[in-house]
Amino acid sequence: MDAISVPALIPPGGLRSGELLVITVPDDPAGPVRTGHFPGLAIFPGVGLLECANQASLAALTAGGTANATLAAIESARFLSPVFPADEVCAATEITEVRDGWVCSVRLTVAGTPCALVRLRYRS
Amino acid sequence: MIGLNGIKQLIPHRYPMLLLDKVIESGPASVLAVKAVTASEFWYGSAEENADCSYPWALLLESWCQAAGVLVCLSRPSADVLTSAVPLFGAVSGVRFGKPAGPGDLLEHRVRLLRATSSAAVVEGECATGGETLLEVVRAVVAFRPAQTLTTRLGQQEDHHD
Repeated sequence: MDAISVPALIPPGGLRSGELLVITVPDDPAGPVRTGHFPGLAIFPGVGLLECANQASLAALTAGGTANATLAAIESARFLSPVFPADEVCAATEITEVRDGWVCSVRLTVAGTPCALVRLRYRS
Repeated sequence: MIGLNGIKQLIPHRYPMLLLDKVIESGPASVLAVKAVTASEFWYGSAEENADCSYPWALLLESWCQAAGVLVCLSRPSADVLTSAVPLFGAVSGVRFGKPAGPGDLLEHRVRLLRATSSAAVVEGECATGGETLLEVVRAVVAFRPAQTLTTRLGQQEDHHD
């Protein structure tokens, strides 16, 4: 079964461009970011960037021949600059194989400026 | 105890991004806050028939972070981001996920303050339901940023578009 997605917050899949995953932050005036995070000053939630990193990691793992990887932990994440509706978030992923799965290091940028650095751990 | 209106006086999140229902216990160094997951939530509106209805992990973490926001905003409310500093997720480490939550679960968020400065607070904690751990957070940073410093790039974009 597919898990429920949160398309109003994070469009599933994004567009792949080479080894980058590109996700455009939704800009719906009635959507959850503009109405709820926050009224008067819409900022894409940090957990949305974590989900972008997750989608990029899963796409990279799948492209490398790994199916059914499950997110086990967020080893670390640093949020460097705010992301706003309509921003294009580019995610570049490096995969390291570890004893019980994989660690994905994801660098997220908007217009070339880093907005988050994320390390996610997956198990099979 | 702090009810929904009291939570809205502390943090700026609003429907459908307000993911806390009630604060059960609060003190200067810790909070216990709860959120009931229901099938009528905004997020389930677009779920396909027979979809796995586990609560998305990103929303589980966001809900826990809002409990952390309540803790750090008890002494400096930030209900309106245009007139007060914006509480933002600055960093996180050591987040481990357990069993997923779903409709019918009551999420119990526990957050403990490790240290605080004038511009940020470091917290730790966990989320559980029915005695089972769903989420553990070794360390998270809530940073306060003035709105005008955040909107600098937006202003530049608008100028460019003009």
